[in-house]
Amino acid sequence: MKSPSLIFISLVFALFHFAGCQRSELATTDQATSLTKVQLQLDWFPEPAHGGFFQAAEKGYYAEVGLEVEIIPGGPGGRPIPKVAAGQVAFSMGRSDDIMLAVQEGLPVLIVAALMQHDPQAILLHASHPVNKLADLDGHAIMAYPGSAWIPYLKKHYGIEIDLLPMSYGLARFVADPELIQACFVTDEPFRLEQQGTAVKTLLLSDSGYDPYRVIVAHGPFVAENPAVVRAFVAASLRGWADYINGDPAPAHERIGRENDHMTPAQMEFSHSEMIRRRFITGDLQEGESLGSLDPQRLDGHAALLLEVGVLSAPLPRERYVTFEFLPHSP
Amino acid sequence: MLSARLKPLWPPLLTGVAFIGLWYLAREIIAPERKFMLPSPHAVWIAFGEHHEALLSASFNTVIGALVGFFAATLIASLLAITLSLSGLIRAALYPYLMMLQMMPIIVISPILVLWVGAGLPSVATITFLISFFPLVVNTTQGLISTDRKLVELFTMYRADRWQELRYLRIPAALPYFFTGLRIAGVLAPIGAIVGDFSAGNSAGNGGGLGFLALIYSARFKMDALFATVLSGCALGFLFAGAIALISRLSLSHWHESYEKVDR
Repeated sequence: MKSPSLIFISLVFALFHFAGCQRSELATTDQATSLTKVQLQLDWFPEPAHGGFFQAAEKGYYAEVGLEVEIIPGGPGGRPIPKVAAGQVAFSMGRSDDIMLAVQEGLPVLIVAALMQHDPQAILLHASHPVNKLADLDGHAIMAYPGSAWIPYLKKHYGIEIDLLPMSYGLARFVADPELIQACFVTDEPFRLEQQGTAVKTLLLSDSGYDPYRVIVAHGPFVAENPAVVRAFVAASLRGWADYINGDPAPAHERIGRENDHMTPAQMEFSHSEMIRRRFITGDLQEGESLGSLDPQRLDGHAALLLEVGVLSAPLPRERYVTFEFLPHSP
Repeated sequence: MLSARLKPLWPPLLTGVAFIGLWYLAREIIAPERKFMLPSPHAVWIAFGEHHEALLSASFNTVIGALVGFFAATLIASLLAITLSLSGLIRAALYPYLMMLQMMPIIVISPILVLWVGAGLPSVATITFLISFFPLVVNTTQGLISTDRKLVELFTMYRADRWQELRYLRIPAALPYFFTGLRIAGVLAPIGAIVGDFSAGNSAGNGGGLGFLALIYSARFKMDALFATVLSGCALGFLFAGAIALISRLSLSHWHESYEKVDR
């Protein structure tokens, strides 16, 4: 009789855990400072791809709009989107295609602003590798996150076959194997590899026409109940990003360096300048892109693409996964 | 007669029904925006139907990886156990290192294994091997050195040589211990293969196992399919445990006393 009663006890615990309503705690007001506390879950260890949030915190932009933002580091296996969906944190970040998938599966999350106009995800190869463009990947194995939506897209778009290896969190395997191809952030791994003497090249995924945004995402019910907090958070975050890109990034870099021992100043400098050079954050003004902005047509086009490759199983109405009411310039 | 044989089935069935009832109850209680964390039993059932091809093919790949690792572990563990049974000195010299093998954190070792033996089946089988090896060695060795003193003396009296003693006395006497080790290792083997697949798998030639599938469903936020993947893994565990119980019964029931009581 031991195991049924054990199962029963764990189930009761699980019930309490699930039923425990943490939503009201997503934004609490500190009596002493009268600041509203909210949490932002990062999608990785603190790095320059989070620079604008740290800049906003360090320069007091959040405090100016009445917020105290706790920035929670992420890491391998820590999945931020389910955490936001479960109402454990108010805000996080992700790729717009991932948010669409999450919403399709019933997760209550909502895109509230763009974080990057274009995604820095790329394919990483040794400089000597014979593959020189995405279409050449036919028949090769790529180490990436299985399930990523760009994989079926590449297959269909170029009519190619790709095998997958689950991501190992590190570059040892890449360095050891000149044949290995893996997914990377063009702002990150190439620098670390060049530093230790491995010559590499990258193929940007957005060049294939697969071009999601990186976005700020919020717990759906939280947005409905606390629009003022969301508005303040988005405005101060974008202000932080503008300052991080156009001004002196030192405040953010100092804090990132403090919170992540593996981030060297040279690495941060590289990531920062790559984000500016490739206009990931601001996009192309000529194309009507700007910091934080979201183009409804582009999102629709992307959703249609995901439907076409079968990652979305039914058309997903835009209002289910995104709101434009907090953007600096409403489309 | 039939009803008498079916009788022992109703307690576990009742537990199952109660469990599913509680599961539905839990879904009723949790906040609506959190319902995605616990898909309903029928949603999991539907996910089984919807993804049965992927689940079957992944289960098959996991079974292959588990079998290769498990058979290798059985073979090498048996040979090692015989070596260990020969002298207390050898046991003392090797035991701490066998313990170390068991204590190795598999998740940490897997990136190294991938470099050494390559991703996919070689890594998956090696990880299964590492996980199932220890219980086999320990139990079999214990069996080989626990032979009834009186029988050993009888063999000595009849001037049986070392080989005859091993072949006709020690090994048969060790079989129940060996099967105990096999039962423990057998349940661990599919888990080992899934862990291996999770960190060192390879989708090449449709070779991804349940671990790989779990990564995909997790990335796509398909909780119902993820539950179905977990249950498929459990089913493999039952499959292995059942097969080993059968083999153990076939090879022991005609002589070993533990099986005389079965029909009582």
